[in-house]
Amino acid sequence: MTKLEDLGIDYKSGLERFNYNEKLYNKYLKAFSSDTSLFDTKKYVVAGNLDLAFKSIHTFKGLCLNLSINSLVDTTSMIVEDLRQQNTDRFFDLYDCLLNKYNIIVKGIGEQL
Amino acid sequence: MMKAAVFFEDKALYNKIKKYFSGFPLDFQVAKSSDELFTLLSNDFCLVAFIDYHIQITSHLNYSDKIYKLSPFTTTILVIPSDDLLGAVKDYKYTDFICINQDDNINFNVAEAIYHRAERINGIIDISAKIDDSKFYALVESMPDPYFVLTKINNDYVFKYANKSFYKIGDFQEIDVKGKQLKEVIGQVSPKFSEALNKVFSGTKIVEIPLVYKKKNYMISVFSNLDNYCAVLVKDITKLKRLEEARYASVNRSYKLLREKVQEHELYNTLFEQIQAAMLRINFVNRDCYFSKTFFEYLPSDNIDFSDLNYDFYISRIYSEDIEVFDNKIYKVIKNSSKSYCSAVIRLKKRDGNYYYTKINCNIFRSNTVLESVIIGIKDINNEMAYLDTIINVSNYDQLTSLYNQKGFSEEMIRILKNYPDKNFSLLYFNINRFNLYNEMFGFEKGNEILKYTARMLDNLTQDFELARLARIDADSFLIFLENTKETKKVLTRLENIYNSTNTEGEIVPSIGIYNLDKNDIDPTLIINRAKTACEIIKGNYVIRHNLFSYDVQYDLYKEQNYTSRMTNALKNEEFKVYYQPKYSLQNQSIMGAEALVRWHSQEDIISPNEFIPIFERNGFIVFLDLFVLDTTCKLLKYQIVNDKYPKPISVNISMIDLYTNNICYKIINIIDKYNLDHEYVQIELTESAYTENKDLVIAFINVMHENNIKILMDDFGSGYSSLNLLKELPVDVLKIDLKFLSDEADNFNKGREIVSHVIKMANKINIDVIAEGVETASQANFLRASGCSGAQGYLFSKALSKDNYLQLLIKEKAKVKSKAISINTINQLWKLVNVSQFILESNMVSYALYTKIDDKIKILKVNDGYSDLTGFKDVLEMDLEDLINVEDIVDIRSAFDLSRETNKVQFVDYQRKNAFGKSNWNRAKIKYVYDVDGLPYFYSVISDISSEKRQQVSLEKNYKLLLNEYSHDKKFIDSAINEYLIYCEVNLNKNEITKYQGDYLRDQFEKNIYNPIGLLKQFKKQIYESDYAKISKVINKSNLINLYNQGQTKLVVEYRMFGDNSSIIWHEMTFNLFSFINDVYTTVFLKDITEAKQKEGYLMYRAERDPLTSLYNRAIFEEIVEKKLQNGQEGTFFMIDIDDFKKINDTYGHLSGDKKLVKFSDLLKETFSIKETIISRFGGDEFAVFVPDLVNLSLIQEYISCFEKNMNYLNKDFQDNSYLSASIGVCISSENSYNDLYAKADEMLYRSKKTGKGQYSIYGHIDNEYLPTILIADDLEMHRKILAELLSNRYNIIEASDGDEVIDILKEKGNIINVAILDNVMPNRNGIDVLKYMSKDSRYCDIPVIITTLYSEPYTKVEALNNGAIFFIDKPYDAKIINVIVDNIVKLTEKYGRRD
Repeated sequence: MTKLEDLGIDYKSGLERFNYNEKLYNKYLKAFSSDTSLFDTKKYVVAGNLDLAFKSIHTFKGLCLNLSINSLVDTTSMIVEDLRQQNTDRFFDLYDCLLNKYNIIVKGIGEQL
Repeated sequence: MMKAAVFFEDKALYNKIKKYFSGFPLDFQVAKSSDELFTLLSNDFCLVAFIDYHIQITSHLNYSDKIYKLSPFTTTILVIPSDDLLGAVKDYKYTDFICINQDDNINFNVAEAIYHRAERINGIIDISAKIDDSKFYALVESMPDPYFVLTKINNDYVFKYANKSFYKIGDFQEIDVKGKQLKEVIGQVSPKFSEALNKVFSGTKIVEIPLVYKKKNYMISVFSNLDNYCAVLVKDITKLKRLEEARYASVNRSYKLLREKVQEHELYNTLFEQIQAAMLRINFVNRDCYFSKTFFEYLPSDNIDFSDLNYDFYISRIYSEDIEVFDNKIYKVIKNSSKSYCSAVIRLKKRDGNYYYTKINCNIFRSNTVLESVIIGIKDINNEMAYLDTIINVSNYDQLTSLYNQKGFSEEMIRILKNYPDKNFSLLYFNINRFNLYNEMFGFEKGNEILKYTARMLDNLTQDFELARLARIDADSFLIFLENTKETKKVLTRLENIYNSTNTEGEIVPSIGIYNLDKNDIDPTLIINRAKTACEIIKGNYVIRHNLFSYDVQYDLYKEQNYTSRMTNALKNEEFKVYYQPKYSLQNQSIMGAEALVRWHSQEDIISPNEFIPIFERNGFIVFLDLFVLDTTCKLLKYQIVNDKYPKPISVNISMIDLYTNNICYKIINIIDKYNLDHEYVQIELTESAYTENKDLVIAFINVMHENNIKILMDDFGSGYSSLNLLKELPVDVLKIDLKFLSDEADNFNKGREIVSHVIKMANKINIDVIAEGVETASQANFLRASGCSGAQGYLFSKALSKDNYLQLLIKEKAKVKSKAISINTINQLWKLVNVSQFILESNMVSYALYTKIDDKIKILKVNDGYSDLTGFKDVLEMDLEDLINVEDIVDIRSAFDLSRETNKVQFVDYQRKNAFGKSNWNRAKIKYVYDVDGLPYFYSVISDISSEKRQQVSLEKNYKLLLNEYSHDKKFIDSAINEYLIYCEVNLNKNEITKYQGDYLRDQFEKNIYNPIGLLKQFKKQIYESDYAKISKVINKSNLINLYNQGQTKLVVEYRMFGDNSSIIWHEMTFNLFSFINDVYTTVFLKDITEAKQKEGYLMYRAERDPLTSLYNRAIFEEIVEKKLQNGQEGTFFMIDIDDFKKINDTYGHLSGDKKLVKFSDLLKETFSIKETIISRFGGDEFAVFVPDLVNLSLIQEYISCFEKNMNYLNKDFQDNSYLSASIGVCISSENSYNDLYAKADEMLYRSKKTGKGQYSIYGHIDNEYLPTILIADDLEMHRKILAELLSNRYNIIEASDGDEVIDILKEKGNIINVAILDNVMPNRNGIDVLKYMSKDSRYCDIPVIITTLYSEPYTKVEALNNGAIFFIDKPYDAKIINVIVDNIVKLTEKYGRRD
């Protein structure tokens, strides 16, 4: 599982959090890419519904944390805090940056699991 | 038209064939591939198949064979261009050739044959049509083969027709046979022929039979397609037969040759593969080579052409300095002598390009002095030799001044003298006068400074001399070796004054002895001595500072003449006295022997041996003196033996000069025999310098002495200049190291020690004992003992003693030992000290004895009943153990005792002893040294009877001796290479027959019609473990082995267990090497007993795997095994078992009692879960884990548990201390879980059981849900809900909701049964806090405790949540442990106090 760890996934602590149920953890890691909350966030920002945008990104952050995908947490947190303040000044920059990382992770998970 | 199949690559060739056969009634069917050809042939009958010879060659497919099998009446013809003919004439059984020459003509005979064949077949088909056809008869009349037609009248065969050729085959008159009976014409009809006729007349179309008639071979074809008629075609195949026989013989011959070759190849390959050493076998007869894998290390690459292995090639791999050795010791011996063995130490280049020391051993096989083959073994001894090199390096230089020491200097000097034979050289001996005094006055440091200064100055002065060499010897003496030129004088003057500038006190003055070397001088010791002598004369003379050596030196001459004139009389007058310096064993400080030394007590004075021996060596008198010493010594030994005065071996010095004397060996042995002495009492000491003078002479001498059982000691080892190199070649038995040799460099004491200890270690490695001379201090002795030095002599122990004193010393030593009476007290104390309970000790379950060692003999002090039972001896006390055992085993026993004492470890020794009834038994003793009491060592030993084991071994050994007897000329080699095999044989798997086997062991079995090792295994089926037999019988069967081979596998190793005698376990390993030969697959079979290795392995494994107290698996191994099983898809049930309140039991009844209970409890577990594959582990303390594979049935699990509970009841009844054990159990049935998951769940269940009370059990997933508390989980993300559910569902009912609205719906419906709600803070529609607010307003739900899940980084949400009535919060990311605790605690509170407050 070193490869997943290279991607920034703390597999060990993730597994611990899933009570060592490797199957379940892997299942949700695989399901990670099917979650739409990240894309919903952008959709809501573009549509101007910042409340929903906040909820979406907040969900996404919880998802990353629970799956121990640590490499996405920092940028996500910045977006969460911005949107909490209804601030979208740097949203698109942060979003692009996050999306890059997101794609790497999704690709990596696809290859590894 | 008949069909003809054609398969051609060469179109032109096909056209030629087609053209030539255009007149024949042939319909050509062209095949484009071999498959097509075969289909063609199997579908239609083809009269002939023409095959392009080139296709045959390139495809390696024997078409003719294949075609014959498909369609036996088809003639296969290989079409060959005439220029290929020679290459093509090989043997294909059923093939004819057509040769097409340059004119495109086809060999007519062949064509004719085809024609006839065509006609014959036509004849069959049309026999009725043509029977009256004149054309047909015209044709058959002209046929070269006899042909006749028969009809059947009244059971007789009657001729209807016969052609002209028919009359030629017999002596028949040319009469018309028509109408005559067959037997009338040909006489007796052979049964075969009449059978064939019968068949044909009863409907068979064609029968072909070979027949011998009048000594000729015929092939007779009888055919018919008409009732009552048959045609007979007779073909004379005598020539063909002969040809075929010749062909067959030649095939057989080459087959045999090839087979031998293949077998030899297989044998060596197999053997070489098994051994680690680099081996090379060269067969000079058929120019073959075989290598072991390791040998490739010595080759430049893996791809070596055998033909490259010529002399030049070998030389290119050898270190240049060793080529001469290789030439003389290996190459010439192999090529030009009749010796069968040679060896040498040679540096060889390995693949990495570096040279390595190797020991090369060659076994040479000759038949009638003609070289046949050589087996060369190469052993890497680099590590051993590396020691030598370092030692040589360190010992060549003086550590203080970095100049040479005497040894290094001597080597250099000799080298220069050899390389510059035309130059004149001088040696200057430079001594600092009264240096000792100076040292005393100013201290060593100052002294060392002077020495260093001197070295520097000497270096400066001689730097213009290219060939100058410097050394420091004997503390304050320097050697200067330089070219003797005009300049030398100047140097001398400056040397005399080197201290003038620094020497304020003016006290330091050198004396210089000069020796101008003679052209014949080669002995460095002599050269140095002469310069030294010259120096000695002027030593202390402050005016004359240098002196040139000359033979006229008055003093020397006087001394020599004086001694020479006195010596003969001195011998007569017994002025020479022999003294004996005792040698002591360093192990037990006892006397192990002595060295005989000579003293000259003349009437005038006592003369030191250092003075007279060199002179006697020069004039030859030494021979008489040495023999005199030997004689005296022998006389003493004889006296000792006769009078029982404790004789010990005495060594006598033999000078190099003696060796030049004729018959010296004879003389020495003669003297010893004169006194009728056992040769072992006399040992010979040779000085090291002797070896350097004439090696061959010395080696020859040593060999003779060894043949006469006389040991050789190398005296003064380390004092000469090339001793270390010599050690490699000289077969000495003992080394004597003079400690003085190293101790002169006081400040390099440690280095000296290092060298000495290395020398000892190295000597021990090559089985040479070491005795140290000049041992003066106890610390030296201790150091030597620790280094493994076996003996010592020196002032510390004893100086050289006169005969009487020596005898007295021996008697005293005996008395000393004897006076140490062994007190009964000591024995009893030791007896009790044994760490075995008295019960065992006194019982006859074990054979047990206590020994001591007195006078080198082992005495039995006390034995238990078991000992008497085993040996049959009741009264053995005070007896010598050696008297009870086989003489051959005494040495082994002694060394086992000694080794146990040395290493303080248990030693094993196997030996034979006669029991009281005279029967010889094998015993194994485990010997343990206890400690010394009053100077006597005490030992325990446990003895067991291993006779049956040994007998088996002996019979196997006997069998092995018959092994491989066919390779008797290589026996020596094979013995050493495969002596571990019990069976070797070779099986033809296709024919199911043994082609080779070795040993009576098998032969017996074969006579019982057991055809191969596979059958052999069946014979032993009862003895082989059932599971092992099932496994191996699957693998070792004919078809599987052939299959494996066809899949490319060539090697197969199987192991199995057998029950031996006394239900011991024997492990066998069977190795199959598969290979094919001709069309059959063969295998060689090696059977090896690997019991010992397995036991060792098993024991270690056992130790590492088991919990020492209960011998259950430890936790790590349990985890490993169960995890592996689960990964392999194994199903099963995991039990976690914990003894309730075990701590209390420990506290109440003590830990010892606790431990006993644990052992009993673990036995109970073993009993309860007694299924074979069950894995039981003690996790630690009072916690146990059990994994029962394949157990998934719930009711079965419950049965196990009730069985366990029953057993617990029995166990508790057994306890006599009124203690009561109960255990809680957690169970989880596997369902594709990981180990950790399974363990966690079982552990959770255990936890649950414990909470419920003592002696309870819970099974995961089978807990009554009705009584479980209910938890509502709300989160918009399914995954978050699932994680929580996963954590909680085992002990709670879970209701899920995906947003706030749904939560409220659920509350409305089931609000009364929800114990706790876990709400996500951020959800669509209504978030967690909104729901909280809603709930707080409604009295139905306001008492439900709510836990809010938030991101850990958002403290304000937590505060907000708590403010709005949440009872607690859970951070994301979730932590399983925290969630469990929070939820459990809150549920507990609600159960105790209601939902809120």
